[in-house]
Amino acid sequence: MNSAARIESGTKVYGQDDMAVTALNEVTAEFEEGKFTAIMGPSGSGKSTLLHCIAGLDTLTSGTAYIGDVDLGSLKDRDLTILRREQVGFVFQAFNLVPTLDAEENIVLPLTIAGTKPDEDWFNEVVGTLGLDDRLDHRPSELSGGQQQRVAAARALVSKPKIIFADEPSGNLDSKSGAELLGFMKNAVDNLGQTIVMVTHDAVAASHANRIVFLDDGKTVDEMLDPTAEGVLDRLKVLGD
Amino acid sequence: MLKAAIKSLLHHKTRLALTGLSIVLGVAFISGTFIYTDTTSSAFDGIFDTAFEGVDVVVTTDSPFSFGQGVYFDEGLVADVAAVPGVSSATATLQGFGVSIIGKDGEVVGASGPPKFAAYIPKDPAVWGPVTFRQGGPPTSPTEGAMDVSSAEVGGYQIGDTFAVVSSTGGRLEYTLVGTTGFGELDNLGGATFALFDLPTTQMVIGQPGKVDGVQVQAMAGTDIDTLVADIQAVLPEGAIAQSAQSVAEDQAAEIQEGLGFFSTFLLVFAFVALFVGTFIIYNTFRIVVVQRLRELALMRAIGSTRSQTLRVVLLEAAIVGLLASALGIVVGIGLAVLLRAALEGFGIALPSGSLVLAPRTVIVGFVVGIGVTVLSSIVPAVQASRVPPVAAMNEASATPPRRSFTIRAVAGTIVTLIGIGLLMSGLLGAVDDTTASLSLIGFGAVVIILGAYILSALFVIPASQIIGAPFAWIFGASGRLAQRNAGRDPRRVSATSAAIMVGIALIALVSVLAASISGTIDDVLDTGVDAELTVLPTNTFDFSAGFSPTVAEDVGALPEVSSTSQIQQGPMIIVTTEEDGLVGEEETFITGVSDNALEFFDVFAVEGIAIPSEDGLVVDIDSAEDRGWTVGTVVDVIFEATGPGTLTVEGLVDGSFADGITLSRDGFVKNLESEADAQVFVQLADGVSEEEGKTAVQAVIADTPTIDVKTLDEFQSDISGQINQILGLFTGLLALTVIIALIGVTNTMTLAVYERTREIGLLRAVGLDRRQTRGMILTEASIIAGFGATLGVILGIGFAWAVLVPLRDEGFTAFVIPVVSLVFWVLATSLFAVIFAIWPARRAARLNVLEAISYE
Repeated sequence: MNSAARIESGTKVYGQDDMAVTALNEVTAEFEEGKFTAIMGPSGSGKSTLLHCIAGLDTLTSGTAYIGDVDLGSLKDRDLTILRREQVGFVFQAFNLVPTLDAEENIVLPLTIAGTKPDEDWFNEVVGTLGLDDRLDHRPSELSGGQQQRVAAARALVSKPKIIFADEPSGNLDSKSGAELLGFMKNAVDNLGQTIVMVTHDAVAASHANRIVFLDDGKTVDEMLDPTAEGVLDRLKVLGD
Repeated sequence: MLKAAIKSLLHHKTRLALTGLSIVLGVAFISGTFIYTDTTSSAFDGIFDTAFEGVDVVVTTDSPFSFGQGVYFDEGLVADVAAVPGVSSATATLQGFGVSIIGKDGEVVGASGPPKFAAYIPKDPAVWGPVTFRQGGPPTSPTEGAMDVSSAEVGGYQIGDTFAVVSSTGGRLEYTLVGTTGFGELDNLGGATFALFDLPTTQMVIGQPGKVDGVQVQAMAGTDIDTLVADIQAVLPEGAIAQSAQSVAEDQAAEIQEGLGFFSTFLLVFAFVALFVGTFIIYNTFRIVVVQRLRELALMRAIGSTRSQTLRVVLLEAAIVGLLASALGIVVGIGLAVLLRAALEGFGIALPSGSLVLAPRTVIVGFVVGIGVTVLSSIVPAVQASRVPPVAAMNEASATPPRRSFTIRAVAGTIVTLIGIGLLMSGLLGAVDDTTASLSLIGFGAVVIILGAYILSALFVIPASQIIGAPFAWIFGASGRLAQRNAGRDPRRVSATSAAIMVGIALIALVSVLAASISGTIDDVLDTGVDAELTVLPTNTFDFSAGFSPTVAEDVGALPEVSSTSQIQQGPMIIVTTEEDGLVGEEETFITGVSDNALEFFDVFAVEGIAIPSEDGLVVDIDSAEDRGWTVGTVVDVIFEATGPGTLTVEGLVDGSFADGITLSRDGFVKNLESEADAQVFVQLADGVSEEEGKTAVQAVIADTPTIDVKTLDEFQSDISGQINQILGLFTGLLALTVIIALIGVTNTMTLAVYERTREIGLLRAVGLDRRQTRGMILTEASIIAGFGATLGVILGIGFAWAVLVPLRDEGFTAFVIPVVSLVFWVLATSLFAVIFAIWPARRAARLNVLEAISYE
């Protein structure tokens, strides 16, 4: 198994002394290339912290996080930024887009920042797959919530990153738009060979994934392969007890 | 509520301190000027109180000339006055200027501005007035002289030394120093130099043998002064006036006040500019503070504070800022007054010592202006704050303002600008006769135009930021392009920020274009209008009183290296005009006297009549003739200082690049002005003599006359440009200060932008913008905003300069030169300098915690 990203004995502590809160406690996990992995857990379980630490947005207190074979802890801010730019894609829950740029400019933003040009065929394929052809010259304020998230997904895909991290990507969408977006993401994994790691607390969203990692109290507590929504809900009930 | 205001002020203290800086500076200029003028004039009042001690009545010339040499009377006047009943003693007075003391080092003593006097000092100490002898006593023979103690020090002279003076009529003369004088406690009077002699020597030195310019009278005990004044007036010739010593002292004090008044007007204009720039910055800062506190204000409203309470809290904050800034400004103003004094003393101008006068007026005006400007500028933001709906407490601060229509702005801006242009032009074209009134019209018009330009500028922010940002986008790639977009994001805020910069740069551009155009005009005249290799002129080019003896032209003309010389004289004349309604007007003007060979030297030709007039005629350039309604044959009523009323006939209308104003022949000039002194001599060299050889030869001839100098025409030209640039440097230095204040506005605006765009910057960082690029993005945006303001300023300044110069075209200001290089320099410099002012917000942006920025909660 080739891992696109992994974390070994990752611990993250916020605050100091009496105020210290352990968000991640010796977490070890691996995210397989070409797979769609979901991270689930109740709020405060540390799932967002885990995502931030593997994505290079936050640093671990101890342990190591890798993207490919690169140890994120060994990188300075500038190298980390370049790594994010070239090998990582992001889809956040909201505020994914720069309001002054139109959809096309937002999609190619990581490439523009890097000073490179997008591969035109790939760009067209991504845009076509996400159904954004006739929305490219619109500003974010002129797009619906679902369209905005699809633009964000296109941005994550267009630089052909090693891995895409999504943080509650459908959290602000109605169920139809949410299902559509998750469908596209699944499609990107199955047909385009992308790797996606998604944090969610929504069982239906998680059921699109190939594999679910369950987190509680800063620790991995369970795993589930080829999940269904019902199966996930059942598992969550068990965890809640 | 006061508590709430103070708390919130403390929270924003850095920003408000920066904002207050513009008020501090403005108030400092105002109070510094007041303190300085109050201090100086109170000291001068003291001197003039003693000026006529022991004297009861003073006879002086009653000359209508403001730049004249003064009118002289036959010496017999003194005896006439002495014979008037009630007069106990009568003493002659006589002084003239254009007499330079030459120091031991051979250089002229004294700065180029203040006049250089020769005066008669009587032997009787009772009529010395404020003059006191520091050493020695008054001269008693034609070989002796005295001088003011400052000149003695600068010239390196001790009592008993032989010193030289050079006068415009007598040439170089030598005397033995027998005394040094002061004026009360002062070493000199405003930098003027005084050479003092007995009466016949003074008459010889200033070229007025047998003449006096006034009489000082001591009355017999018990004589009624008013009656005596009337009795004396009865025996006086025309042009002389008798006044009580008291009223003369008051007049002279008032004159000094007026002289200082010019200086303080100059400084007050800068105070005004600083405060005007300040209003934009305060307005913008308070708007920014309101946006940053949107939630807090909304929360206050939600828990029950009323609109008017919110309004009052913001205004109260403004008042406190204004109060603190004014207080600090007055303190800085005291320092400024001390500095000003030190600077003037550095130039050799002694000023009365004595403690600084801090009049209640100074303090009151300082606080009223400082607090007033601050509160007025914050009214609009305060109203905006009061309109924040309580529900805003629950909403996100929006990063992009709602797009409102620009139509109203376009219409309003156009109307305001047109009104401003109307006011400016009516002032310039002389819609009102009064100079002060038309100057205020021009000033007010300029302010209104600037406001109009500010209102309109928001319309151009988006396209302008595209254009100005283009090179940045090209150089810096993505961060440049993002900055380009960001700069066009909130046109209203950008236009308010750049308006302050626009004002400063507009004024810099105005003075730069004026200076370049004046230089250009002079270059034009010298390039095309003069056929000569060398020119002899006073060492201090702008020293109008420093004419020189005609023997110089004779001696130079006699040199084998020289083929020919042509002399130029200059002096005042009054033109008497009679309107149709019978009103008589008097206009003082400078006229030129030229040698008969002038046409061989200068580009002047007769369009009608002749080009060089006879002794009783004049020629005038064709534009001036048209303005005055003169044609060949017109008889003009004139007054000369020396010869009184008379007439001159217009004998020719001339044109050509050297044709300017009214010109007399040398004979006519000498006859009417009774002066042979030359203002300048132009020299044509003999064939085969190089400029260097010619110059060396002429230098040898004028070696013992250090008041004059010989220059090639190129040197002359660059000398004039150099002096103009010096003045320009002084102006732009002060104006650059206002631009720096204006750049503080950029700091404020960029800080707010970073605050509002926290999430967006976090997103950019997440998708790959590194810290350096983030910094670059913010710095570039600041540069674009500043560049926009500076560009508008340059356009506006060129417009102002054009408006000023067009009406002067008839006065000979033919060139309109735009100093492209220096204007481009100012735009680039402002744009680059803005980077320094954006470092702080840029660092904040670069150090934003990506996680905090993008986290949703």
